[in-house]
Amino acid sequence: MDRAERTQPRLMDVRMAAMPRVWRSYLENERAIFGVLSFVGFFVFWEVGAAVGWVDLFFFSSPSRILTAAIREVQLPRLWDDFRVSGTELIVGYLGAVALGVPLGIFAGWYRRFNFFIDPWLNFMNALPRVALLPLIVLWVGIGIWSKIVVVFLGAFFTIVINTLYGVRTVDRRLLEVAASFNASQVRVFTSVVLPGSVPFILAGLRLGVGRALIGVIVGELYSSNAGVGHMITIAAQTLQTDRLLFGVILLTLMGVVAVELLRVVERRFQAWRPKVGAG
Amino acid sequence: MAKLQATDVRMEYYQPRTGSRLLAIDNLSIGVEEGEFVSVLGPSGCGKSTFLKIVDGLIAPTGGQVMLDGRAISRPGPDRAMVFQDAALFPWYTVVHNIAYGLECQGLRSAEARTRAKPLIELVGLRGFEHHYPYELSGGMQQRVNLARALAVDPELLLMDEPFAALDAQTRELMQSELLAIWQQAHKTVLFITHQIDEAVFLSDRVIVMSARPGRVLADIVVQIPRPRALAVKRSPAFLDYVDQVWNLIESEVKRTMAADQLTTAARVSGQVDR
Repeated sequence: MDRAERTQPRLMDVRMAAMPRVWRSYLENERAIFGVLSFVGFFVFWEVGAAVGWVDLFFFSSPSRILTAAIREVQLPRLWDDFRVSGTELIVGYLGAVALGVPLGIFAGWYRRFNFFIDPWLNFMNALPRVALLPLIVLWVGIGIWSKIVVVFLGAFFTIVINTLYGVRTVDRRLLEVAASFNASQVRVFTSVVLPGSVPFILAGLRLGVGRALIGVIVGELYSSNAGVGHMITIAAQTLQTDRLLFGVILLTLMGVVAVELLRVVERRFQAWRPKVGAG
Repeated sequence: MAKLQATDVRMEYYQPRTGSRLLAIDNLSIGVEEGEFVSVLGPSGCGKSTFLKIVDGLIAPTGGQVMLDGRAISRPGPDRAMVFQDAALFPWYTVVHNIAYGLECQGLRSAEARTRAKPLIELVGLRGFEHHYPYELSGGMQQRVNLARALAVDPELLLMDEPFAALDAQTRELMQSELLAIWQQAHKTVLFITHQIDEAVFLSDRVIVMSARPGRVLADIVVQIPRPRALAVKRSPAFLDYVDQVWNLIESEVKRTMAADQLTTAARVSGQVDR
């Protein structure tokens, strides 16, 4: 059975249709069931462990304590201020990186000599851990919101540029030849071949960029800040409030999840022409 | 003067790796008359696809020239359209949008281009598939779209680059006979590239047999099988005679290229890079 599953795509074969309903609906939802089981199991273990005393509350807190802390926190206006600050840093920095990174990547991908010209800088900046520049950035623009926006921007920008550039450079040559054969104008070559051909790469860059941007927010705020979720985490750690600290971590995770899900919506809009594979 | 006249076309490449020159096409001269279906047949690597791209204006030859209706070809133009080797459809466009592409390139508005593409969908038998994406079509259907895209711009000269090479044998046979039917309706001049002898004989008024690299004309054979030709023609003695005749011409060439390939491979293996 296992081997068959590995070699064949999962189809509803007649033997499956003949099975009892409960068993069948289990098979159809195996992925969800295992996922939920693993996740819920972890939290149950954690909670029970904390209650029995296997888990040290001081270092690890417990799910119920984190929940209590969360309920307490969401009623405080300060939390929402922190949330708004972190969100603004992420959105402004990231959208800035997209707005400048995608056009630059396309331009560099299309004009070979421009690519040669900026290539060493792209490689250098990509290899450099941008958070290492934080102290310098704080010197320049202070510990306020702007230092974080700059770090977020730098985190996402180069990833987006490099992916876009690569997408444009690997556009199908045969299609460029078709366009040339029909005497397509430069604008049409761009809109009919280059742009749609590089969309998957651009989207991959955007997805990687979100992760980098989020790291920028967190590290930036942990390093020096006067507001934001990272700031709240720092304070919680200094006052030994593990439950509050972990709630902050969950908040940041949620921001990441929301951002990635939003991107997935964008992705689906652009991918109607692709064969649907890998479902289930 | 012929409709299409290629005179002493020469294509020589330079290989930076070895510093040597590679002569792909050696003074090729070919004429095609108005309304004629001419195949260029040759072993792989004889430069026949390169020649087609030169005629389309995608590549500039290093010597000689190609005239269409007495005008020298220097770049792609609306008087020629290419049917590409492996369909090369835009995967992000639907069938009708792919067919309308050439018309849009000529400056037609999208809606009008699609209206003009409609009859071609009928012609190549793809009614009901207008709004499908290429990945939803079989290889044969993709080639029909490829053909319709070229026919849509109503070219004087249709250039076909081994369009059926990637199809399975049965589909290929059917596509050949459909192409003939379409050709008879559309009254186009066709220059068809292939490495399949029976395909060339079945389709063409004339078969131009090319040598192995560097490509030269070995023979120019007029196929006097009456039209319209049904697929059954392929089993007739006259047809088989033509196939034999071409094969005899080409056999030694194929053997020569194979031997040369083996030599270069052997040289590479033993460490002597071919210079």
